[in-house]
Amino acid sequence: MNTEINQKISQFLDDELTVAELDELLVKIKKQPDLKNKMNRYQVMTQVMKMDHAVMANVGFLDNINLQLEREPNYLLPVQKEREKQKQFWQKTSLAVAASIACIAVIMSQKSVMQPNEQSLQTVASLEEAIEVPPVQMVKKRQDSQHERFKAYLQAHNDDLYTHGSLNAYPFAQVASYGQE
Amino acid sequence: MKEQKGNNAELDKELVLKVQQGDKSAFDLLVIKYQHRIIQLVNRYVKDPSEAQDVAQEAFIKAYRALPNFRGDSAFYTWLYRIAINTAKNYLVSRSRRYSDYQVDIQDAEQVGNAPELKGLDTPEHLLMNDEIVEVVKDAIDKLPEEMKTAIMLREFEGLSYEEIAEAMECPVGTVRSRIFRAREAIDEKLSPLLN
Repeated sequence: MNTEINQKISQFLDDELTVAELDELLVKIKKQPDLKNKMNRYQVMTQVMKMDHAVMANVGFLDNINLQLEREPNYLLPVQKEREKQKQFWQKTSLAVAASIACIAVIMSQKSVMQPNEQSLQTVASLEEAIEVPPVQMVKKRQDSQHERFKAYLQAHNDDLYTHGSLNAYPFAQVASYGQE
Repeated sequence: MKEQKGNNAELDKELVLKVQQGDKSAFDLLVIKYQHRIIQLVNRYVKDPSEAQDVAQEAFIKAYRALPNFRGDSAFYTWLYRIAINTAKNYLVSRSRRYSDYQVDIQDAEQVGNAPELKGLDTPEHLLMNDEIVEVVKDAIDKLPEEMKTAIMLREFEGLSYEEIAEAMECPVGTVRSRIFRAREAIDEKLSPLLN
């Protein structure tokens, strides 16, 4: 298994790795940090073969860089990423909370319309008590009086009074016809 | 010396993209890949090897800070190379030292390692260690089977791609890949006790 990864390291240093293989190598290196030492030794070999001189990085060269970057969290890219993620998370959370509150408010208002509360029910009952519904007899009496008033009106304006001459007054049409005679 | 740049730039671009997306291990790979060349480059300005290491580290840190703004208009190494030179110059200015006014051109980035004046700048301990490493590597190469030796020499000395080596050696690319890897493993077997 390690042989395969070591070969990938060899290819990486020769720029003969595909992007997919690079991803695989990154995953392996995260799991096995010792592979970085292997890569470092391969690099030393290359230096020696190319110029008869080994330019070596100090032990912990990379670790020192990482340590210094950790001491300056403002510049550390993953931290920025984390901040961004946190910002997005809070934005989403606040949106979700706002949406939930709005939903609850709508549901509550609908409930109050559909199901009146006890207080309103009591109010309605007291109003109903205050306004007594008139009995059937009273209604009939009222109707009778209305009928009498209508009757009186109609009698007062009845044309028969004119036609029979009971009032010594004749309608205009009748007077005109007598005049012709 | 022939250098294959196409795939190199593509892989670096991919690694840079990953760093910009927050993958720190991708930056580690870039550091490991270029640390030796950057140290060598800085060594041309800063003569003290331990100081050169510090300046090289600072250059990488600056590069990391600036990576979010790196658009990829130039190759990553060219960009890193400029950062390293500026860091080294600033370091010398801050220490009020005079530095050799080498006309190091961006195009010379790959040739930096051939600077002969690098030799003799190290401390005696470094030199001794260096000689030992060189001897071990050369000895290991000599003991390699012929086909492995040819493959690794064509790659490291001539800078040929796997495909070109396959053509030259009249064998499949997979065989070249395997031969180069096995050669490195054989050398590493001798080298790792020394470096560890």
